[in-house]
Amino acid sequence: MMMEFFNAVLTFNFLQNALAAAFLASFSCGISGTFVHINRITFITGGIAHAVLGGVGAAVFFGFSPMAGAIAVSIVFAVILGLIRFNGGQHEDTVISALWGCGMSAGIIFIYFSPGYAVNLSNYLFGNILLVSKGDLISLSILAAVVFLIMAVFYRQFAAVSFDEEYARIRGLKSSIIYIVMLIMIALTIVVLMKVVGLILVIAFLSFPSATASIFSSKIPKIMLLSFVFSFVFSLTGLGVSYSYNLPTGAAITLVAGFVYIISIMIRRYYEKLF
Amino acid sequence: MNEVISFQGVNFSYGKNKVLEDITFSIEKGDFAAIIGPNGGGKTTILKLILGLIHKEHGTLKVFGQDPAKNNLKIGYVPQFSVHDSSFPIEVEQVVMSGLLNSFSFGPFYNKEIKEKVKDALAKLGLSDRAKDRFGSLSGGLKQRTLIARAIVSQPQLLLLDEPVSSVDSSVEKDVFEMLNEFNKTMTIVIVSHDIGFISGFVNKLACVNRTLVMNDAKNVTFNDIDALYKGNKVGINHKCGI
Repeated sequence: MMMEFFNAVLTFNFLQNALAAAFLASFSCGISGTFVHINRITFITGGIAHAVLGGVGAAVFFGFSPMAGAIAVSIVFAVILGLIRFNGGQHEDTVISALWGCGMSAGIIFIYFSPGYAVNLSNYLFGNILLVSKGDLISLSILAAVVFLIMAVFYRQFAAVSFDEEYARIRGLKSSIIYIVMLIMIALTIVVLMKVVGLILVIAFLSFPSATASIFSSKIPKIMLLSFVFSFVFSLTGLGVSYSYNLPTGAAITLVAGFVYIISIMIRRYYEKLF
Repeated sequence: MNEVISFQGVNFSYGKNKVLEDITFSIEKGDFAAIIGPNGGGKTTILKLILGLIHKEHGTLKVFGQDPAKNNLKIGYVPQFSVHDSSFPIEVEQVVMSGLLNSFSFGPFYNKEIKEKVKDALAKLGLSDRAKDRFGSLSGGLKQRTLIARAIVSQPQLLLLDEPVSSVDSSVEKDVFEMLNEFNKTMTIVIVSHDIGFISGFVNKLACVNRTLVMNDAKNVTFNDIDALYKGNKVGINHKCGI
């Protein structure tokens, strides 16, 4: 079955585009997913991912590019959620939930009033990697490059704030600004992943590869690299399974990632008991 | 200028809860000072005020003659027993390197000069062979040494330590204080503790805090002062500095 898939990749343009998109998504995911994992900020990430639908919906409704809407709203929500993280106190969870729900609801209503409602909504929620165009690939490449650039410039500051925010502040680092820049990097990755697995599955796809990678390494750069490799392998396998059995691609990729993560945990527990 | 820290009538509250009231004391260059007092007495709050992490309500507070946080790069800080996530993927060496970060530390790599300084700090703390160990996998004592290495790697003029021996056994406690005594040759040290035990043999200045400052001189501390500070039954022990 997988051989059939590889032959199809060599034949069909849309599958080559899908693989290229998966590569770019995996690259961004390896970087941002690692920081989501080590900061344990899946909830904030989920908030941004779901709120992005508001931007996509508004863009579709007003006739702009959905990706531009997603980028704009994801950055705005990253800034708001970053500020809430540092100033929200005990109400942080509630405010994030409110933004999560309201952003998504606004998106659904905008898309409901736009032509082709059902198809559009499904594409954004569950991904449309098989419909990625050359133009999309250029946009995704630029986003992946921006994600890499942000990481390269701020790597040491991200690591310091993630490990010990108070000490970073004492050393003169603007922790809240660095944290917001990190959330913007994650937000841009979410926009890239929107094409591959859809907004609903973004949290899972950002979490599983880096969580699996952290089982095998305890260094941030290695976790990033492994996470990138795992993301691409999961995407490739999910794409193959989806093509062979005619399954929704985003869901197939996420299930593969989740399955490997669970197996990895079991293997580690087995070895821990052994030694 | 010999005055490193100066508190003049400083007050601080967390909401309606008054934590510090009319605190006045000063730390001079070369001092090895201790701030002691019961839990919740405001000791850590004093360190956070010095570092500019929180801000005073009334009074005057100067650090190196300026407002707090203006000179933080001259300060090394060892926080209360590590509350860091033990699963965080970071090596001992990288923890120490973070002690040399500043707001202009861009790019993913550390330069050779930084690596050399880190090597020296690790050697001073006896951690050279632990450089590549994961920080979270270390014992309480080794974690504490790593955090001290992070604090001294920048060769600060002032070293602040918040309960640095609360999680280690008494033999390690003695080692830590002997090491601090050595560092005191080149830096002013302020240590926070709720235990007057080992401290008394090393410090030359004492601030006893329980919301207000009870007294501020290591030589004149009496059993009655300790009783006033902690309240309730106490056992008196004679220490080297006369306390």
